Parts: sequence; C-alpha cells; structure tokens
Amino acid sequence: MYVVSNMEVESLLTAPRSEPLLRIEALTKTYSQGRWWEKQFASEALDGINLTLEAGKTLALVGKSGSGKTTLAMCVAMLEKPDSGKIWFDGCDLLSLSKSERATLRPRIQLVFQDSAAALPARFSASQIIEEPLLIQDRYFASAHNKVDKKARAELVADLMVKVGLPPGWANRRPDQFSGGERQRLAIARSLALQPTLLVLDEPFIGLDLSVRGQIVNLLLALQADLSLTYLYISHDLDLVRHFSDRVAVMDQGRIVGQASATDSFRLPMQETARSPWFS
Amino acid sequence: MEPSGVAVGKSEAPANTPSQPLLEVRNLSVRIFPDATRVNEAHSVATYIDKSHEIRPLKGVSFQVQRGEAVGLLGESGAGKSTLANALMRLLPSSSQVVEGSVEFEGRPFLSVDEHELRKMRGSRIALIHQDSAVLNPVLRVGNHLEEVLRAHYSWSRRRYREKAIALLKDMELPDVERIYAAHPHQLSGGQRQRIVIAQALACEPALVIADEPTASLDPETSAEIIELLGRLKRRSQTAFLLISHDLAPLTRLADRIMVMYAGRIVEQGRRDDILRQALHPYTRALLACALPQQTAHDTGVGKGPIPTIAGNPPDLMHTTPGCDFEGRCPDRMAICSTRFPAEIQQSPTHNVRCFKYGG
Repeated sequence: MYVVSNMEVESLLTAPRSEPLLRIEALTKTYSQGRWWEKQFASEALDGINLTLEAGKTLALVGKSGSGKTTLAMCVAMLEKPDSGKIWFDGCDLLSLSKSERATLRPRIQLVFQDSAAALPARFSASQIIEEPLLIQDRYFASAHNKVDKKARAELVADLMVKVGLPPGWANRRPDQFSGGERQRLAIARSLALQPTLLVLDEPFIGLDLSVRGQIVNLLLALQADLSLTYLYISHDLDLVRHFSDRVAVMDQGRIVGQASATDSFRLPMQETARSPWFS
Repeated sequence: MEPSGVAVGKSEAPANTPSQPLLEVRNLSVRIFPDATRVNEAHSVATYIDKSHEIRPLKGVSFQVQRGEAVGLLGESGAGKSTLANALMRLLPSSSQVVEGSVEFEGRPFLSVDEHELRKMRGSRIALIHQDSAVLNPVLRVGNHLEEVLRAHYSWSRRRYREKAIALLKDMELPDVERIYAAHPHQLSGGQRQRIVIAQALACEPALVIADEPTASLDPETSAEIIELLGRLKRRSQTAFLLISHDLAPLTRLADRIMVMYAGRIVEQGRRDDILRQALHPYTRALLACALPQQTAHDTGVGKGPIPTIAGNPPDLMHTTPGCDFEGRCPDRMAICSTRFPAEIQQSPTHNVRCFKYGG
C-alpha cells in the first residue's frame, strides 16, 4: 500500500509536478541474528519505509543507533539488498537492474563515511585516493600509460582538491599527514570525482573538532549550491541537522515515525537522548 | 592497607587542611625529544618531527583542583590534553619529559615520588579512565579486572574481593551483574566495557580521577548515558574529577569549573557559568559560537544555512611563535599579540584569562 505523505500533498499542490530524484516505497529488510548453531532471531532493520527526496535538496535521517538509518542508506547505495519494496532513483528501479545497468548507475550515488581516517587507504597519496574511482570506472584510462589521459586526470584531481579547499600542492601527501578536517575534505573530493547526483553522508561531522566541524558543514552546503547535489544525511544530532537539511525524517525501530521541514523539526517525536546534553 | 610513612592511606589525610587544594599544578611544561621519530600516533594528527625542532605539547600550565570538585578541560586535538593527563599520572612515554614546573598532590611533590610510593598511589589515590576500552585484557574476565585493582591495594579475603567487585558493577548500573562478572570483555557492548573501565578507576575510591575523553569511542546515545552515570557517581562520592574533552556537551553536564586549553596553554579558566555565559577569550567565544547555534536553533527557528566557524586550523606545535598561539585565527588581533604571550589576568575571583584585550 502506498501512503500519501504530507510531502506528496505539498508537491501535488505546487504544480508542475516533477518526479523526485529518489523515491522509496514500502522498503523492508530483515537481518537474521544468531550463528548457524544457535537459535535464529529475525530483526526487522527496515519495516515499510516510504520516503521521497527531491533533486538538489537534503533529507536528514535522524534516530537512535539501531533504528535502521544506516541500513536504509546502504540499500540506497546498493550495498545491501532489501527484502521487498522499491527504490526509484531518477526513474530507474534500483532493485530490478541487471548487473551491468547497476554498474553504470553506481557512480551517480556516492558515500562519505564518518571515520575518514579508516575510510582512506593509508598508503595511497591524496591524488591516488581521488583518482582511484576514475580508474575503476575506466574514465581517463583508455591506456594506463597514455600521457594525455594522465594529464587530464591530474588536472581533474587538482580541480577537485581546490573545490574542497585543499591546496593542490598537497597531492602527494598521505592521509596521516592531513588533519581530521582535511581528511574529511579529501574523502569528499574522492566522492565527487565521478560527478555524482546523490551523496549519502553517514555522520560526516562526527569526531571533528568543533571549530573544524563548521568548516565542513559550510563546505558541503557550498558544494550543494555549486554542483546542485542531493544529500541523504544520516545523523544522531537533531540540533546540527537543522542547519544542514531541508527535511528531517525521524526513524525508530525500522520505521519512519515523523517527517517535517527543518524549521519545524523541533516538533518531531524524538528521544531525549538524541539531543545533545546541554545546560543541565 | 595503610602505607607507612607520610599519610597516603584510605583515611582522609590529616596533613591536608581544608583550604589546601587536592591537586596543584604550577607552570608545568613538557618537551618531546627531537630524536623520537613520530609522536601523537594516538591522536588524529600524526606529526613527523624535524630533528631541528623540539615540540612542547605543554607550556607553563598552572591550575588547581579542590577536593570533590569536577574540573573540565576543553581543548581541540593537539591542544595537549592527553599529554597533561599522562603527565599527571606520570605515564609520559620515554620520548617526553617534564622540563619545568611542579605537581603537588595531597600536599606532596608528586613528580618526585619514588616508584614504590607511586605504585601505591596510582589506583588508590589518583586514577585514570582511558578513552578506549581496549585497555581491558581480552583473556581476563571482568571480575579479574576489578579484583586485580583491589588486590594491588588491599589484603582482603577472596570473598570480600568478589563482593566488592559485584558491588562496583552494581554501582555502574549494569544489568545481570553475575553474568557480567564472569564475562570476557569481548562479550560486552562498548558502553558496558566503558563502565568496566570506570569501575576499575573508582574501585579504591581515589581522591582524584582523571577521565581522558571517557566517551570518545562510543556512539552519541551511549556516551550520553555514560555522562549521566558519571554525573550520578560524582554527586554520590567525594572524588574529584578532571574531565578531558574536545566537546562542550559532557563538560556542561558534569564540570563545576572549565579550563580552556589551546596549543599547550590554558587560555581561560573559570566556573562553568563564567565560561558558558561570559566567556572572555576570543578563542573560547569562537568555540562557543561554533557549538551554540545548533543548541538554540529551535528557539529562533533558524533554518538551513552556514554555521559559524573559526577560520584556519588548530595550531601546529612544531612552528611556534613568540606571541599568542591564537593570533593567526583571532578576530580581535592587535599589534602586541605577536610580540609575547599574554600573562594571566584575573577578571573575577573565579575567572582568569590570558589575552591582551583584558590587560595581559
């Protein structure tokens, strides 16, 4: 059954009606727990999720740990296979694609993880990290030793580094020679290499110093305006979400328990613990 | 067990008058030897040392901790927070050395206490909560971990060790205490493991507990629970806490006083409300501005938009300047700022700041 959400009504009222970039319908995913010799327990990670995300907007998924946020993001990024339901991305049903169709669509959805130190290969230089997706996708790689392609790749890498606010002269540094904030910029540059339309941001601001966190928030906002990116942003912190997203969806036990625009989000049902403790 | 010699025992040390602080740190400086190839591996920034430079992660740190008081130490990565914790526990790696200053703990010069005394004091008078529960031994059961600490300081019967360990687990608000007592660390969740680390530190009811980012390795909800637990433990006990954090949230919940650290120096210290409501140092104010808008957003209804930041990066300890370390990022910079580091100015009896705006 397809439930019409508030957002649907809004978009119906504001004609002309356009297809959202991402539409998730009745998505379910169950993990079975317990090893093979033990009793099996089924845990419903996703239980009938309905969501839409307009192009160029940010949707925040907020909820406690274990509420299914990351599972949902992994399904959208085609890293987990849901049990039932549909994910429409730009008019394509992600779950009924053939292997080759999926491979061509994959570059358009990219991930940025929370722990950038663990997400970047320690022995790669910054330029190798950024050009790795290009090599995998065979872009600028007609022949590995072709000087023209090499030059084009190097230019693209320098361009991406400037875009995320890193000096291009640092292209030969390795991840451990960058600070936490700079590493997160590097991870963002890598995710932008294939010119994606949708970025899945899994807690990208966790573990950053307070003064640096704002810089990364502002960088992602500027990139969104510049490259008309769409963000699916996963967070624990309802307070930061307000500054970063257009809509907020609260998840609990695999269900969406509330949705609102960012300015109205304080009305959403939210566990007290999900708010940062402040002024006791 | 009552140690011989000077009063260090379980009973309140009679040598201490009420006005005397529990811990007094005066002008503490730490240097890292340039022949060490790599330091700071435990932190997010790995620093390669140029042999011609020396690094001073702590530069003339002075503060006091009173009995039963919770003091918060706020600083970003590379500010020297963990170096301070290790220096106070006398756990500095061999590549680092205290070059000047003194630490007086319970009226004794702590830095010159011999190894034998130190073993008696660590754990029973001064204890450390690590940020990472990886300090637990994977082949020992939880009960062994707690009893090991007790056995080092008391001579009890086996049964009494066990009873005390069970009581400690109950204090940590753990469910199913008997099962956890017999469990190995890998069988517990991250939050439960962190509770065991806290129980170890509090086992002998020390006078001072240093908590170095006690919630760093936990997810936000579990860390909020641990903060609540520490708050309840603090209210119940006579123990003083030194809470080290890079985030404001735990400190606003737990600390009576807050010290703000930047590039190895304490730039501002005061009561919690002094710092949160009337911060003086430009760095503290900028840091609060970074953290506060999100907290107040729902009052003003602010929507999507850029949030305040501090331009530039946290300081590079290898390239020190004679002036104020915050000078390069400071919005209120003056000519005098690059000449020398400002002296500590007392704005009120409880509120000190190091900035030329207020004299210095």
